Amino acid sequence: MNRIAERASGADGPNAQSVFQLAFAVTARLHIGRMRRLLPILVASAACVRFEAHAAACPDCPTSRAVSAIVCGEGIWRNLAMTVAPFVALGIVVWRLSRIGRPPVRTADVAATRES
Amino acid sequence: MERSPVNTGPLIAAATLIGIGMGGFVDGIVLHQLLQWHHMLSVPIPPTDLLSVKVNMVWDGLFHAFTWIVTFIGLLLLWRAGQRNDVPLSTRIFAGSLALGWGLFNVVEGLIDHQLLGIHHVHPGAGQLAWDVGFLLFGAALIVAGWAAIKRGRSETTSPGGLRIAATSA
Repeated sequence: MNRIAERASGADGPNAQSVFQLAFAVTARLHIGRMRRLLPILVASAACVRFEAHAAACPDCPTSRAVSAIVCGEGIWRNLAMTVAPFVALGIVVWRLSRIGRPPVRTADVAATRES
Repeated sequence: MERSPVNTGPLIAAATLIGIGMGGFVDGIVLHQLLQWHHMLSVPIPPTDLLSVKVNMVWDGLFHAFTWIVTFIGLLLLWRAGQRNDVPLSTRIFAGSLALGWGLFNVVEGLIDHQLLGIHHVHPGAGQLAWDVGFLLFGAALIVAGWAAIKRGRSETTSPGGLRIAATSA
């Protein structure tokens, strides 16, 4: 996929459109039977997405460091609590629901269990 | 043949959790990511530039993580319920519980996040209250429909004495 991106580099550098066109052209030459029309589109789209993801990835850059600082800075516990709050409430509701479906415990059953 | 008490609780709890997860994923995938109507913390951190969008993406990711955990717990409980002889594998109860879970998610998340905490709204801007109310009403409708299906399913699988005939191989 990276070779396709390199080959697609023009004077202004690689772009998603040139990657798509090149991947489509290469795949369309393959003899792949019934998938002859669909496969080039799929492969070219995947190459395009992969290329864009590679170009946009920013695991360690000033923006990502600023994001980490904001997320982990003051207010993290408040934000975390606000995100978790609905799930805690839903957990309580489901716990109550699980008890609704239980069969009623009858005195006769308890007595029979004890006797056995 | 052996008579054993019917226990629908494990199936209801498991399917409800899966329904909550499905409702959460619909919200997260459709409203947060595809349509981008709102993010988890749209109100305190308005997504107006790249930095604030990326911060909101982190909180969206945490929301998805919790939703995934809920779904996973639901699957585990469903697996355990399927191994028990006293739990009826009723399609009606299962489908009703899925709808109940989705509806519960909408109502609880809508009340807490949209109304109580106000950290985001379904469709901010003009008429945001109508969108929020519509979200709640859709959830309430799912709860009513789901609960009705569960009740009908329980009446089908439970005899008047709360017992069912369970075939045993012994």
